[in-house]
Amino acid sequence: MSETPSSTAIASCHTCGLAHSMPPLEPGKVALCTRCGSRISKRTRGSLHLTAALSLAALILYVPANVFPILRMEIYGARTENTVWQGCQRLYHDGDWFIAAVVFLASIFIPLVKLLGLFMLVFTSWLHLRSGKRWRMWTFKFIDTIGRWAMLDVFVVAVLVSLVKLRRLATIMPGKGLFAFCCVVVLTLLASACFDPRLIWNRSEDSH
Amino acid sequence: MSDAAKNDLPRPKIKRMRWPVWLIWIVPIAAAIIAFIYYRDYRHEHAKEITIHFANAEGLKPGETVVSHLGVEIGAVSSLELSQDWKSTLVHVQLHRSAEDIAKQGTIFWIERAELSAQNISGLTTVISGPYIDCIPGRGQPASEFKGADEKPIILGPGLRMMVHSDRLQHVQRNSPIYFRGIQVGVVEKVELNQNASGVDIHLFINQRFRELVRASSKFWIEKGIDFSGGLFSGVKMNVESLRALISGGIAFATPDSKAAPAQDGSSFPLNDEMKEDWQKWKTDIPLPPETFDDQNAPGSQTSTGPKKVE
Repeated sequence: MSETPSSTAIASCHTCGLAHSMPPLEPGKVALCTRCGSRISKRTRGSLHLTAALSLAALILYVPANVFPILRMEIYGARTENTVWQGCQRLYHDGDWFIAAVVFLASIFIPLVKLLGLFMLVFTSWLHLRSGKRWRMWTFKFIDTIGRWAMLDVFVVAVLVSLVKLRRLATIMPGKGLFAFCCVVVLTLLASACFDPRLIWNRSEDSH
Repeated sequence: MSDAAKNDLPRPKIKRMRWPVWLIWIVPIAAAIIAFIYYRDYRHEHAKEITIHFANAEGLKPGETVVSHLGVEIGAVSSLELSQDWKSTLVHVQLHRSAEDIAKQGTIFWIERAELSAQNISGLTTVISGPYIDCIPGRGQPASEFKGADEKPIILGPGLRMMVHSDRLQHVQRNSPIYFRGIQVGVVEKVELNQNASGVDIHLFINQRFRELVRASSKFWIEKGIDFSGGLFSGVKMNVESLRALISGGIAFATPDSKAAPAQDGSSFPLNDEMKEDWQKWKTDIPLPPETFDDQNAPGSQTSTGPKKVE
């Protein structure tokens, strides 16, 4: 069930653009560009494995990332711990509904949509689904575009923690959930980078 | 494109993959382990929920107010509500796993707030951080419903519980110190009118270590704190017991010798208004037991920051 074209095809290197004639690849082999040495073919089953595994890992950690507080503030000994959702609510109640919406979209909604979209793509590619290719391609582009806006608040927290170190008076510390949060960010980035969009089209080319 | 043209193109280098693809499934397994650690941590911190009834829960905040014992955090307030008759409050507390055994019958919870009064200045840290709930562990059966104390209990631990009588209450309050040769050996536990309102009963607590000092022949008097006496030729004489006694007064006692029997729990003595000169000259010769860990935490000891230990 190799996804590589069974007959010799032409593939160009992603990095330097040199065209190669591709022989069929056995599982567990990779083709490297003769000029620059980068990998040409990602069209192996590996892409699906990578995306599925990383997305699953991200989805698992998505739960603690949102259940546990990501930010912990201590001001004069009084402390508050905030999860992302509590932060959104607080912002909304303070009247900053725009920021609340941005935080909600960037930290809760988009990561989830992205992960579910990736799962959908992996699953349909795995089934070699023929229909809805355009729609799936659009999904991939969408995920790729919004993905870079996901989970901005990690950076917000990082900046806050480093800025607000008033020592005795007030401290802002990363909460327990932040580790999971960061993992989710990195894992979703990797997962969408690992997905090869050619898998969406590939099978139909094989079959005729 | 013709086959000939295809063959003109360079052929890629074919290499074995360094890692088998399935190795990537270690990542979600690791993620699951991390998630499990999170879950265990959560369980650890939310081991047992208890409910404490307080007359007033002013200043308590869900998620922020902590429950501590001996300065160690053992839980946090999770939510607050009014009782059904609207006369008291129910404070729900999540205890950490390591401390869930503290929730037993007999455990006393109270809200530690800043206290600024003539006889006591305590809990100053709570001015800024807000009140917290402190407790003294009990030894009964595990329980989850508690009645919170209105104020910090004074007397804890073993010791002599006795009474002195006076016509009227002066210079003495709840929590006033009891001195022997100027050293604090106990506190006033309770002050109340006696049954026919003819006088005042002052309940005293003497630490276990010092209970032998109280004999049937002991004399108790009021330590007024500051004592002025002046005469035309003698000048002004000022006598101050201690700063704390200066503000709130206290009770002092002296024992002539060890011949009389040690006082029993519940025994009572008269409280004199004045100390007689010769009481101070008594050379008491009573051996004290060595200081134990319990004594360090008992009221009246020098290191005490408040009663913390219960026996």
